Amino acid sequence: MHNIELLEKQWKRYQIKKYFPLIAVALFLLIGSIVFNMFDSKISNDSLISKQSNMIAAHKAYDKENLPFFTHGAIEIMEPAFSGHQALVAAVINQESNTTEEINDTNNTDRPAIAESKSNLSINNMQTDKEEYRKQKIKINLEQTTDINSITDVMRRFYESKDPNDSLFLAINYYEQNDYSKAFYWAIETNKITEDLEESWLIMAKSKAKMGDRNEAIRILRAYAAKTNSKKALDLLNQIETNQW
Amino acid sequence: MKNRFQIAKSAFVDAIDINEYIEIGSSYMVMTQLENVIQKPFKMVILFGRPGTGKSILLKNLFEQIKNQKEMHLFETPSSNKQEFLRQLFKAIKKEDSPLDADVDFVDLVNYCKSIKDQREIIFLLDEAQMYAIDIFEKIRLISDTNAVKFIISLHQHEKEELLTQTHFSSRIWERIELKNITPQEQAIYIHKKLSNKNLIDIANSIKDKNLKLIYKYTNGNYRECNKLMFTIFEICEYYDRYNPLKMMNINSIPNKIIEMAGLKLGYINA
Repeated sequence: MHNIELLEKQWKRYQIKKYFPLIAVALFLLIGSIVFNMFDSKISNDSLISKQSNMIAAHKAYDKENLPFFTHGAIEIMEPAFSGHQALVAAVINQESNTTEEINDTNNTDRPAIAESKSNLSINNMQTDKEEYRKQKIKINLEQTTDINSITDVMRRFYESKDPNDSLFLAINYYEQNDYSKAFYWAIETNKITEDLEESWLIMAKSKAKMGDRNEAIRILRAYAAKTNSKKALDLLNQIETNQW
Repeated sequence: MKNRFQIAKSAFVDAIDINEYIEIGSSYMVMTQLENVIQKPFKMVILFGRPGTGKSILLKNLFEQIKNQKEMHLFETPSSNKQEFLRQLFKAIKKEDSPLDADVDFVDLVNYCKSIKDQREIIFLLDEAQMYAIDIFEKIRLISDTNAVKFIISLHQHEKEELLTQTHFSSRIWERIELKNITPQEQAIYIHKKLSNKNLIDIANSIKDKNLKLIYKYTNGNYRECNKLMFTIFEICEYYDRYNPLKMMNINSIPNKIIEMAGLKLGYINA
């Protein structure tokens, strides 16, 4: 008779040996998938940041090459990393403005720290512009809201689809919130995609005017009016030139 | 009273016992082939295969089947030397003992064989022939030339191959029959029949397909290896049945654990 107890011990060792490769492979795959997921999410964040950096660089290049009337006022805008906290940082440095100060919104950690130029420009025609915009048929299906989540949703959608209606929506939205630097930024984004949206030009000019850069606003409106002979642009140009706006 | 597993393991004792012979597909084919060959004017037939493929029991079965129809002699154990072999031949052919104080005169024996041609047909079955020396093979060749004496030679594959391929030898070989390991299906039948012959139907039914697959994996369809493994499996079962009866009570199938333990014991697998 065999020594059964010894055989049983050997059998247990054999089972471990038999299933060790399977266990090892399973563990390897598990660890591999965890590492991959971590790495993948990091890559996604990095790629989004990189994408945004590229956009900013492109924006600068666009400023220099296509909008010579902006050259006296450099703009630096940092857009948020959407996957993390939705921090939106926009910095506008205007060479002609000495009133720049940083404003940190402490009410919501998700909201951006903003460097904003203050301006003393009037807002006489603000209400009129709003009404005109509402009359205009713009393909925006989203509700206009100041909810930061909705705004970031629109931003996210814009980065995915590059729909100028989305960027115009953001420009108008920020303008209505008196956040003129961001309004100007999103108007430029809109113009990069299409130069045919009149509202975008008007927001761009009005934002500049609100930020105290009246000359720049005039140059924008002249450029657009020369190109399209737009009545609205000419009216606004006239109002700004005559200090009635 | 014998434990049922004791009876089961006794079915797989590795012995050439014709009463334990299980005829399955491939062995039946070879048997039929041999029965046909011995009706022909052959000189030599070579039965070859790896150890444990059932050559010995097949020869014995042939001997038992034909011994009453033909003059047939089975040499199960090879002679240790040429003279002893010749004495065995002498005794079988002349039906008398050779003189103890003198060597067998081979030429005289050959002449005698020639003289009985067409009167007698003597068939020698030589098992384990790979153990015979080359000069004995030469004697076999010369005696087979008389056409009165014929040989069915069983030997391991690849042994004595050089000799058998030589023209003077190979020209006298009527047929070469190879015995191979059995298929999984044949092995399943073999195991089932072995147990059924001992009236152990319940144990036979408790060996399921998964068990048979594992048994085949270890034994590769070799009869001897199969017998060894089955014997060890039932030995382990016997132990559990005796010392840990709960483990073997109402058992519907033999656990693969027991087969693996037997495999470890016999060195088919290593821990």
